[in-house]
Amino acid sequence: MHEPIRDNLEDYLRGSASKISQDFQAHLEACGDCAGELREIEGQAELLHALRPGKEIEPSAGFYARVMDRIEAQGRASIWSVLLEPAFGRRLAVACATLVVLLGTYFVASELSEPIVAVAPTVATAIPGSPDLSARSSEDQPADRDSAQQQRQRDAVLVNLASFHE
Amino acid sequence: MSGLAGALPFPASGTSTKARARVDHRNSEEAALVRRVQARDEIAFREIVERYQAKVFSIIYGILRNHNDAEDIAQQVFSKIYFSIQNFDFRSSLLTWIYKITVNECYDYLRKKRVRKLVYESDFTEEDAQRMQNTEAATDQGPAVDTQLARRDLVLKLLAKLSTEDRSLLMLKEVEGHSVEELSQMTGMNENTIKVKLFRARQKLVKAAQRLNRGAGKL
Repeated sequence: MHEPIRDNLEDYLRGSASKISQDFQAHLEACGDCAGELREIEGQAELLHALRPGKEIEPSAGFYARVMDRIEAQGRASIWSVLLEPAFGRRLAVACATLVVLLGTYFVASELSEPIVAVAPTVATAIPGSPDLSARSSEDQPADRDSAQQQRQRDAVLVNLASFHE
Repeated sequence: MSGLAGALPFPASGTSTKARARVDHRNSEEAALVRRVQARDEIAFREIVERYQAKVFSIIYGILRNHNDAEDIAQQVFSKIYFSIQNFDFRSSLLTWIYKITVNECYDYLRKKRVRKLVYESDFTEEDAQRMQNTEAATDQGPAVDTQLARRDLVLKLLAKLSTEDRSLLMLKEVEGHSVEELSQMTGMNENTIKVKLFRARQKLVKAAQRLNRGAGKL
């Protein structure tokens, strides 16, 4: 559709002849395409008039009370339905996914950084003169050396007490 | 929006369209009422319901032509207004906003009804469908009503192809009979933008009708 028609289209459809420029009629007579398109648009506008209600319609008495009932019912439901709302649901899903990733990362990282502690066989340390495996393994790790020594002393005291009764 | 108006050679403001004072939707009596509703003042909400209920009913009835459906949809419209009035930003008039919600609710209803009908009909045997078709033919109310229904069905189908904004704008113009100047005041957009949007919407409608005709021709 060309400019002279497009510029005056709404005034033409409204029937405001005084507002329509001279170019409009001149162009319409010369341009078959614009005349055809204008006919179609006029037809559509006419078709849209089918949606006019004709008269104003009032609701039946008690409409406000019925609206409030519905609002109350929907308000009650909305406590749970808030989880199903697209925006909130999306945020909740992202938060859950982030939490899972963070927890996963934490557990993996803590497992990797945990020191490998040799389990000291207490029975072996209780036998005097036997090779002390726990002492040997703890030699490599000074932090465990003290606790292993204390364990050995406790075992020795226990052995002494047991032999005293016999 | 202004870019769109600038892209098309529509008359500039001040030539054929007179510059008008913008309506300030923030400082009107209506805005004060909306603010009271936003503060959860139920008396103000009641005032809105009473002020717009007849308008809402008329819009729905114009689209659906059914009193029972109009009541149900009108309740839903006001319920939606109650819950979403916090988002009303005063850029347009309250009526424009309510109009948009109402037309959207009608389209939601039509969509759900269509889905329900499809599900319902899928449970039918061929024999049931045939029997129903015969019954419908027997209760035919004559060609005049039939033509009106067909016209309304067609225009609703065509309007469904437009965006919510274009659909409301075109309906406010052609169904409600507002002028471009009034639409400009109601929506807060300038007149050239309204003209461009209306022109684009009309073009889309014509193209949709042509596609529909081509589709019908193939059948």
